[in-house]
Amino acid sequence: MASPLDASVLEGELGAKPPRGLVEVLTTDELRTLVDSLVAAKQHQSKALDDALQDALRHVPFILRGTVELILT
Amino acid sequence: MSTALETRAEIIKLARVLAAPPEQLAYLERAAPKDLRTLREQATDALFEGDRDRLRKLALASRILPSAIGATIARWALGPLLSARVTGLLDPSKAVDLAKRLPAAFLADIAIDLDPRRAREVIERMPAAQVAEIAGELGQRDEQVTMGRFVGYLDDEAIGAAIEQLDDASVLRVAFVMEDKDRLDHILGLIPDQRMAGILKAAERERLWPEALDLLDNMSDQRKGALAELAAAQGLLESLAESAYANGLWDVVLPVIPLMSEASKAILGRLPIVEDTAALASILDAAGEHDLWAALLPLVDHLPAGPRNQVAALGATLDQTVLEHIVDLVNDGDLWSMFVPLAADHMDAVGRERVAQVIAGVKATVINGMADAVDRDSLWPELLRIAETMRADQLDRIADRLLQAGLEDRLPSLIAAADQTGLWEPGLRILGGLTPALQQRLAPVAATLSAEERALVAAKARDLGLLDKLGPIGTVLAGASD
Repeated sequence: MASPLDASVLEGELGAKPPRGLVEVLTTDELRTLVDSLVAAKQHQSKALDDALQDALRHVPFILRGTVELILT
Repeated sequence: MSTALETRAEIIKLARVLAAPPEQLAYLERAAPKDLRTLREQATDALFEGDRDRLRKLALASRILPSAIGATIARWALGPLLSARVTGLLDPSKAVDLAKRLPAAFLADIAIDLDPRRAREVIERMPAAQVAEIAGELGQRDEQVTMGRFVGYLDDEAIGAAIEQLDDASVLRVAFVMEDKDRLDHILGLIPDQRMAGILKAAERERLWPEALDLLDNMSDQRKGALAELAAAQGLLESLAESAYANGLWDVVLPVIPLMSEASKAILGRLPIVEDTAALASILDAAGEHDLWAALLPLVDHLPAGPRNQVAALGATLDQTVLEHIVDLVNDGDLWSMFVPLAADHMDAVGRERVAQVIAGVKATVINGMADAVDRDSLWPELLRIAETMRADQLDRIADRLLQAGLEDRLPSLIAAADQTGLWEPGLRILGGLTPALQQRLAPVAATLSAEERALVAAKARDLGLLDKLGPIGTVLAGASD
């Protein structure tokens, strides 16, 4: 069973209270692994979004690029 | 769906959200499926909320861009993951217009990462033909988990079109992981019988019986029965039953038995697996654990002697309360013609005595039901074998109930059964246990027996010291023997 501290780390990453039943059946190590997986997924998405926003502007016609850039920043 | 299957499906879906292989999440197998689903939705929300501002700006920018350019950006700059994230923030008509300009392969990529809860309106507005194209693409990639998340958001036309694009095994797999299965029965109604037969064959061919049994579990009774008939007609009951045994899914199969035709029940009852002692024991365990006796009992009549003996032997060891419950179910389902011979002919003396004790204590209405069935189905010899172990006071208690209806027929039947089996003592004790009023009413009936019959019964009663107990009946009988 995970300690309350580990459960709160998961809650922080989820932005919501994780299901109690789930926290109760996981060991501390398993809970950490779950948190790590969630953090990795978030980082992966954020990096992909950074790259995509840069790339998107290349496809915007010159005449609209300034406006789109203004919206995106 | 059984808990184990549901958990497996949820882990697959969560792995998709976290971009991790399902094996990496095997440690979650101990969690409850509903908890895993909540976790998945929370993780999806967290991923979305983490970049919400930037995604919103992206959606805003798309408003001033022509759809053709928006589609190009989606495809070449954003890619499927971010396109999926931003979809729910777009104006739905704009999103559908963009989708029209994107190839099915790319839309399939988006679907994989899309959270349908956030894009409900967009999904609902997608033309059926385009949904079918995307489904075909997802089917080729074995993306059943993705499709399963969308089914609940599509109308019948789109679902029908999508099913046509999928092979039989894919349909099963999608149904297995489908969310909100309340609609599953309705959706199955969209599938023609011929296609359903193909789906069942795919279950056997590709070892997808757990998925098919999950389908069965979510169907209406009417459809369950029809599917079982289809499986029987295709000769698939054997592999279905083997899978149910191997996967501990008898609790899914047993409730279907009462919905099957007698011919299909007969096929099921004569499958080799039913003759397997361990398999049959597991069936009885499941019936006990899930209180499925009412479903199982109609099969007993179709079992060969060996398995029937085993059912009887195991039945005789059940707790008294379970036996009482079973006797109630037998009465409710009018299954006495199966149960009485099972107890009389297939149980040992100890088992018969246990059944007799249960019958001796049941409600009057149950005795009435049994008495009617015994008379109707000529089960007096079997009943005497059970009654043989009852105490006198117990026989007294049930005697009136056994004979009060249809007096004219029942007395001769009882005497004939006693003569046939040699079980005069329980037979005569039943007569001796009747109330004086009923004995009085039966006396004229006794007088209609032949002189030889009356003499025989009187002699037996005298030998057993029961003649006096027969009251007016005894007087009539003794008259014949004097």
